[in-house]
Amino acid sequence: MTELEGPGFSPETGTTEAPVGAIHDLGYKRYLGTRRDPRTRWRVIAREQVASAWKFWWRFKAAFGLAAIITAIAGGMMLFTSDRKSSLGRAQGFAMQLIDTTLPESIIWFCRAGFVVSLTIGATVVASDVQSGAFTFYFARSVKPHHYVIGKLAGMCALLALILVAGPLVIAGLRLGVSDDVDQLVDLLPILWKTLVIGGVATLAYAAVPLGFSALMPNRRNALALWAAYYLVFGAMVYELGKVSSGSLAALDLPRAVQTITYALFDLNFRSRDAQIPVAAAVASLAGHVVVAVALVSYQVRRAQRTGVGGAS
Amino acid sequence: MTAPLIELGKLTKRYGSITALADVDATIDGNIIGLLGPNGAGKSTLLKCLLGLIPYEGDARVLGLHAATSGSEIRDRVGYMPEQESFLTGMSAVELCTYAGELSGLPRSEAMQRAHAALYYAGLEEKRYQPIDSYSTGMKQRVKLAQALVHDPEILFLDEPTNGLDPRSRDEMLELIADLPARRNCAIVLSTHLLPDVERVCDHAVIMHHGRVRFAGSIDELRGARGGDRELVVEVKAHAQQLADVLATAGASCEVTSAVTLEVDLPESATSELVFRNAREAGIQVRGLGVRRETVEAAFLRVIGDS
Amino acid sequence: MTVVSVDNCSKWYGHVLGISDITWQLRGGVVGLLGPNGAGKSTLIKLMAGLLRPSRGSLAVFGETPFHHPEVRRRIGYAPEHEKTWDELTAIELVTAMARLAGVPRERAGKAAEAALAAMGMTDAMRRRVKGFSKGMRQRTKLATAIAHDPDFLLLDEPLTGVDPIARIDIVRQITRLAAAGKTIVVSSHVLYEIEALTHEIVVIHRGQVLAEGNVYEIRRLIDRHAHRIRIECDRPRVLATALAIEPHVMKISFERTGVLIETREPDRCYDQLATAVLEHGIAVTALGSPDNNLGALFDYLTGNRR
Repeated sequence: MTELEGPGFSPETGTTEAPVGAIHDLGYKRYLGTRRDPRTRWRVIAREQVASAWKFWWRFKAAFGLAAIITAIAGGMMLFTSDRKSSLGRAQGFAMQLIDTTLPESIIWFCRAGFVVSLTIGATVVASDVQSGAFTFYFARSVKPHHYVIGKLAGMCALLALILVAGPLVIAGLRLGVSDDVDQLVDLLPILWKTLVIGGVATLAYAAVPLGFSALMPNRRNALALWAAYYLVFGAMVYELGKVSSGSLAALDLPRAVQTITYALFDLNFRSRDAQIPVAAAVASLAGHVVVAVALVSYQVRRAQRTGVGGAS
Repeated sequence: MTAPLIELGKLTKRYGSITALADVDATIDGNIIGLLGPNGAGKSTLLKCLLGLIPYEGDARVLGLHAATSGSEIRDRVGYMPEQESFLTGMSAVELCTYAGELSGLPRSEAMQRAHAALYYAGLEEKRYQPIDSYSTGMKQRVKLAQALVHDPEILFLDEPTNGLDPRSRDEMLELIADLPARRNCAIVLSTHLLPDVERVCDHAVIMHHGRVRFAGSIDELRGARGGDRELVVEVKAHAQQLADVLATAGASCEVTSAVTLEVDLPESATSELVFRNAREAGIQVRGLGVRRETVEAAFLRVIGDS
Repeated sequence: MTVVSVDNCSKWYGHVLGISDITWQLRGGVVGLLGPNGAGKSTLIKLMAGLLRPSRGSLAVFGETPFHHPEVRRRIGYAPEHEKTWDELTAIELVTAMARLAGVPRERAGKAAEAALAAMGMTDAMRRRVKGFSKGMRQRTKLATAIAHDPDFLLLDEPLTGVDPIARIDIVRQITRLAAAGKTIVVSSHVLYEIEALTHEIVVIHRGQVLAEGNVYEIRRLIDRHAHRIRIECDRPRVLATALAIEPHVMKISFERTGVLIETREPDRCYDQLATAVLEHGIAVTALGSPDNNLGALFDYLTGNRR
């Protein structure tokens, strides 16, 4: 098809004048623009992960709603419990006011919302891709295994940060807002960076570890079941054991490990009925979990790249 | 002159004691190239090497680029339509193709436009917003083709593209494929076991067996020179034997191959007119006539058998 | 004796229609079962294999309903389209197990399995796990499973998908041999030239009903009464076209690169007049044929133009 244009013979005026018409070539044009550097592929994958999480209400929005509710309740508690004492003791030995312990105590609740996200999204990511043949799709293009790993991790971190960082930050902001005077506000400013640290640590843990489980099994449902069993059952078991024997064992329970670091940052003691988990064990546990998870995902994805394309004929 | 599509120099790939590709030397060029060979001949290994996904010994160049070092760049310029299912769950065709384009380096808006264009071309205009999980086999094959086209590849590797399609859909898919070089300016490497498909759309062929390339050239070369205009195959409405007898007396040598077909070797200086005339006199209706050519299937078996 | 007798048989799954009021008899030999996707072929095959019970009407194999009828099912060999199986077993283990399930006594099952696998060309691979098999090898294992217990009636659903051209010839030969030994075989396939290689008897299923049945040539002859295209490559296409344009049965004439395509309402008359014109004007014909003269076109016509 070619472009057709022409001045028309205008019957009204009897002269070849203004009227023109054109038919445009809808055919295909070669793409001559630049191509993005392959090193930016992870961003595309991360964005896609976030977009697909937002698509269905049950995938992410529900957990996000849950986090919003937690934030609201925590905020309400801070506003209406001005002088009440908490059962958590400070490292220096005196009791704390509820208004100050709400934030650190809320972290474990945000972790629960994070767990919901891992159930609806995180623990099935890699298994789902294996089952649907997505790796053939990815690796027939200029995507490298580490782009995939980093992209998925970044995407999950972005989602979880909305819960595990944004929520606590709002509560921290509220705490600062209800300060008695400017001096107290300045004294309390450190809670902001502490919130960021614990939020970041929790985000990384709740993003990476479920991804690792999703890479363990080639089947979505099995991966999910394994993750849930590990987090809930195995976690509860080691926590109970940790109460009666070495506290370090309880550090294997992920939410409690996060809680331990929170208490350490905010200078709080465990209640006597809780397992007394040493900080070093908690840090080691989380770090170990994340490293193993990332290694698992990398291994599976590399394997998929080698076998995925080309088929079995 | 631009570089040939694919150049292989002493290409070797070993998996432990198994040699998947053995010292392959070949230049592959053409519009639509059929990649043929029995199972285990090394076709999928060759593909993986060409896409730069596995290490190899020797030389493999696609569009002038070395597969070992420029794998990513090759994959940006090459499209692949796999045999197996390769989708992401919960996506519509448009979303998948846009994602595909972005993953090949196109900016998002460009990827979106080209995704739609590719889906129009593949014939999925009406259903492109629906989730792929709801598609029939034929539609899934079309999506696979579209996602391979989005990023404007210069070569398209198609792996059994007519798999599972009913005859009408198979026809339509082959039409799409045959049109691609002209409409989209890309060459096609078609890997398939269905040799009549190759006969229909390909102009070149590469035959592999036991990890070696046994033939690389045009279909005409494969089938041998045209058997001369005097070697014919004739189809009649009925009474092939009778026609054979009549033609024999006219100097042609004939062989009856079925109740309605026969092979005719015309004598010197005779043309097809001899057949028509004798058929007319014998009251036999001629329904088909053509120069005898080896089918691609026969040629393929010959090449494999020789090796 | 009638092998399969279908009488006003319908099958539906909730709202989904499988087949609708089919009446059909199969006396023996090899029959090709054709039809678009979703037309009801698989339903009919599963009914014959005894996996489903008719919703209405009756379907009898060897005089009995095969559903939940072990004696009859022992005489049936069914090779389904899908390949899902117990991957962890070796081929010989799998086929032996299936043979025993089909009623072959323990002592003989192993030998029968071995013979079946050998017949399918799997002697070398039979002790390997099915997990690592290519598609073609899975197909052959599946077929071995269907013949191991020496059934009298074989139902083969897409038996040649993914099979490479060399193995295809083997399998076709096996099927032909089985037919010659007196077995009744129903082969369902989308690849029409495969059916052409096996048999001349076909059944076309469309929209859940039997659209056409019987000998391919006979059916084609019936279609002859409908519009038909004829392509002629010659040295003076326009002279030929002019000679025919005056005929009232010619509906359309179009010129192609090397010849002319004539669409006619009465092919029989057209071929005769063509021959006359060729001889009268001394036209040198290099090719004569009809794109509508094969199983594909017949199928297309039957399923495409139906109201």
